[in-house]
Amino acid sequence: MFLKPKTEQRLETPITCNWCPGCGNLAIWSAFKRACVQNNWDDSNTAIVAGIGCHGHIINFTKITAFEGLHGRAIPVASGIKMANNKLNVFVFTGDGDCLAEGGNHFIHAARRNQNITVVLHDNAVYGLTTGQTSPRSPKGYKSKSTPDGNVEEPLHPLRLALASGATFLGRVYAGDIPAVAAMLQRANQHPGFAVIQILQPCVTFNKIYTHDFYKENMYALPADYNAADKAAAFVKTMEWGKGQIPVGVLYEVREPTYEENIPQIARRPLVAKPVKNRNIIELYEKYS
Amino acid sequence: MSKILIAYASNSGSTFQAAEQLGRILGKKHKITLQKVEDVRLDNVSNFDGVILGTPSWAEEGYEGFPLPAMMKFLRAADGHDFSKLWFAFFGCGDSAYTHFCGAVDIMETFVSKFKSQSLVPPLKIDGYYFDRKNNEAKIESWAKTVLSSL
Repeated sequence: MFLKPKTEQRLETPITCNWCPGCGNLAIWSAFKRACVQNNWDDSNTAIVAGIGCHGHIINFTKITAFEGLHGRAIPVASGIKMANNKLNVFVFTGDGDCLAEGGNHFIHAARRNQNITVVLHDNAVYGLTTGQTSPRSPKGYKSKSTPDGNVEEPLHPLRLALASGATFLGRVYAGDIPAVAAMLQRANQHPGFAVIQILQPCVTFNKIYTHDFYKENMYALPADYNAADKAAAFVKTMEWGKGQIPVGVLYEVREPTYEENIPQIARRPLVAKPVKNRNIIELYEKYS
Repeated sequence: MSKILIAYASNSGSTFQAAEQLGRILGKKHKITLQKVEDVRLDNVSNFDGVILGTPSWAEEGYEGFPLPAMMKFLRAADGHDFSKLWFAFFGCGDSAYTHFCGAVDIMETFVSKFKSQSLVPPLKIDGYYFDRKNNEAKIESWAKTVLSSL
């Protein structure tokens, strides 16, 4: 018997959430539940995978089939789920540390394969769960316990990296806008191919630079005449960051064959739906033992 | 049927969702306009019979328990306007672990006199919206019914 959530409350587990008051994760969680109800995502058609970090708690608070990967390994787990049953909606919830440091290689290669999964990147630009150390998204000069004299490295830009690697859908949205996040989750999931949503998620406890106020002051919506199919234009948009220069919306979307469509064994029917043949392997044991 | 504006400022979405819930309940009997406070046009406010304002309490402008910047901008811009024909009501999300629990709600209330208007009902202060969702939603529903019975 699968859960058929009719309300967001029915998607909640008995576990009380433990994110900090004001955390962007609270809004992302709310938006995901809203999107589940709006799109009838439930245990029968959806699986979620989280990595390690504050974001990862989302699987503890959401009543839907969920897995937790090792640090940085959420995408490979999601890839396996998608290969086993490519009819499922598969969402990866990951943080900027989890996805871009420990899991950077997986992020690049899943994008390159154009696997039909949606990566929801909770970008708070710190390692929040371990109390605010510098992450691959922390700005240059950022002071934390791990870089007390200031970060000497330039930050990674995940959408630029994803675009260069082969991702076919790039979205960016501010965590605090719940309807916008829910709509972006729906659109990214509808896209056939590797979809990345960079969610600008303030860490209210440790990141005093990328705050709610910072994003509200510096975001702007992509204009209506922006051509999301123009790869060169998308690259230009991913270069923008800073005062009044943070574009939000769908930066890039093109239709390319997905990894799953390119594999004939699962192109028509998911692996999980194929009957398992009973084979006697005793002869093989005897032959090679 | 009254025309009611619910204008809110929100960070992590709790005040927004509380505003939505108020809108659903009040909307059964009245015409509701739900807007982010930064989208409210001051010259349009007088077209409503009542205004409900909501904001969480944060450390802003060097003070703890302060409204979000968008709400303060609205209040300051509205200062001096004559809204004497309108009623106001206030709500906010906060955390009682802090010294000035829902201080922003009290600050909003002080502006009522400047608008030459009146509070319709005592304000609603929501403690830890996400951490006790069921009880907080019950509290919001109860307050909404108080608003309804006062109209």
